[in-house]
Amino acid sequence: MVGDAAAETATHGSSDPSPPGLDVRLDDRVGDFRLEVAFKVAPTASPTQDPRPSREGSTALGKDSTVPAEASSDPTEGSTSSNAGVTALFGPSGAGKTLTLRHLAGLARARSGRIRLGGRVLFDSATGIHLPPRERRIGLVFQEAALFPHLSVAGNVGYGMSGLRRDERAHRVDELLELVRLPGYEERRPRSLSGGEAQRVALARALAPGPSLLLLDEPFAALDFRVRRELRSELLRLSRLTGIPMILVTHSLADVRALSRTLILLDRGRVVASGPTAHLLADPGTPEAAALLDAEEL
Amino acid sequence: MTAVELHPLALSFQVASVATLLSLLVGLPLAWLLARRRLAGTDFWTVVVLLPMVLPPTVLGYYLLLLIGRSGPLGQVSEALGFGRLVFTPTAAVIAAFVASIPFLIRAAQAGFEQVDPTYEEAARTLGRSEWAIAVTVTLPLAWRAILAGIALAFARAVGEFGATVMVAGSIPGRTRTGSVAIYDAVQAGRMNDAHLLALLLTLTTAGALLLLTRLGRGRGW
Repeated sequence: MVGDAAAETATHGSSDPSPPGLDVRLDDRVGDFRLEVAFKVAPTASPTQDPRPSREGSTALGKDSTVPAEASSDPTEGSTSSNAGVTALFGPSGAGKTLTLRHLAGLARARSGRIRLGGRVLFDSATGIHLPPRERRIGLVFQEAALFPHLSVAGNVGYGMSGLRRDERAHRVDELLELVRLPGYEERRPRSLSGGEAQRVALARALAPGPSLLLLDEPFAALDFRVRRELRSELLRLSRLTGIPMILVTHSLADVRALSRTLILLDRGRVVASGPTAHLLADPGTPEAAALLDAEEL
Repeated sequence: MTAVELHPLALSFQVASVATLLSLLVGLPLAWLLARRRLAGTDFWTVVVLLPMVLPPTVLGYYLLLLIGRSGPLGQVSEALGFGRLVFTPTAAVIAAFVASIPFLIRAAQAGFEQVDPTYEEAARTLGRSEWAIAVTVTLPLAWRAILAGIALAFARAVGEFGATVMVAGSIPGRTRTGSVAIYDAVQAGRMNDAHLLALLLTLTTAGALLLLTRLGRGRGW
């Protein structure tokens, strides 16, 4: 692809080797809505192409500037101590959270800005680079799972592994279903799954191509609270096992507390505040950020 | 009932089958483009595609005659390439049935494609598949019912083609005389028994074909 070649050139030709991690600057207008966001997410573990449970506990914090070490040693945030890889995009409806995810995935194209991931340029309005979604290696889990209704669970999970041989693919599908704790679900139809099961399959499907970043667009919003809690711990486990950095869009503070290491507060298309979750929750810094965090469930 | 009398019926189904197949090959990509791409002048293309559906068949036949007649551009190309003349051949009957039936297929398929939730296609994109692969493995199967309905309508229209067929293919017994044309000829000649039988057989076989397609469409519930 032309865009791909241009991206390679831009990456290798750059005199300033961009630090790994995610670096986003976007300016976009959709109707009356203006999205103007800039944020960085520090790297966690090295992006792995193989989300198998073989690297347990290896999600070391990378050398990063945006997240001080205190974030991972806050005694009041018991479960957050090792959930290195989840960044929460938190804000009310209409804040631009989903739109931001769509930009990252390549499903939307901003008027201006730049997106870099792990030293790769995915989008740069200045040089006209806009990698299509299929070349970004970014997984996306939708709010309503969006499983292909005409394919079996195995067909869904294997969809992004079309390059593999038939038997290899079947083997990987088995492994991934094992990973999301749905062994033996291969031949099930999406319509026969519960909401929680469908989201697990959607997770397995998004992990299948070995993404270097996983985006989650309110994946728990349509689920009842018990399934929510269950899936939260599931997500935390997957984050640790795979080491794949995740960005979670949510308007639930419970999700933020339970899952995220880094928090980005979004309102009306702008980043209101960002930083380590524990820090921001304890000290929002501005009245605006405090007001957003005050509303328990937006 | 002799074999000669049944020929128009067989010809009708041959012509309609080939015409429907052509409609499918040409119409599906067009329907997908109209449903999924912001084309320049979408309204214009929609009108062009649907025009054969609303034009009087004789007008359609007249334009086709200008196109494929011996002095028409397509007619001349055909003769220059050694395929001989097009008018008053079974090929002309296929062309007439194809042009008359393709709008039905495009309309149904376009509506089917538009009903597919774009989220599925976006999910497929983030899973690394090409646009072509997504159209074939996601959009097409999810629009399959609507496409089947389009095939049924197009086939029925092709079997029933009369006006344009008479103008470009004529009514040569054993060569271009299709079922619907044969019925008209039989009535004109006062052979009411032949007309009666042909009409009945055409009704039954067309109804049977539609029933088959409807059954096929019902089986695919997910």
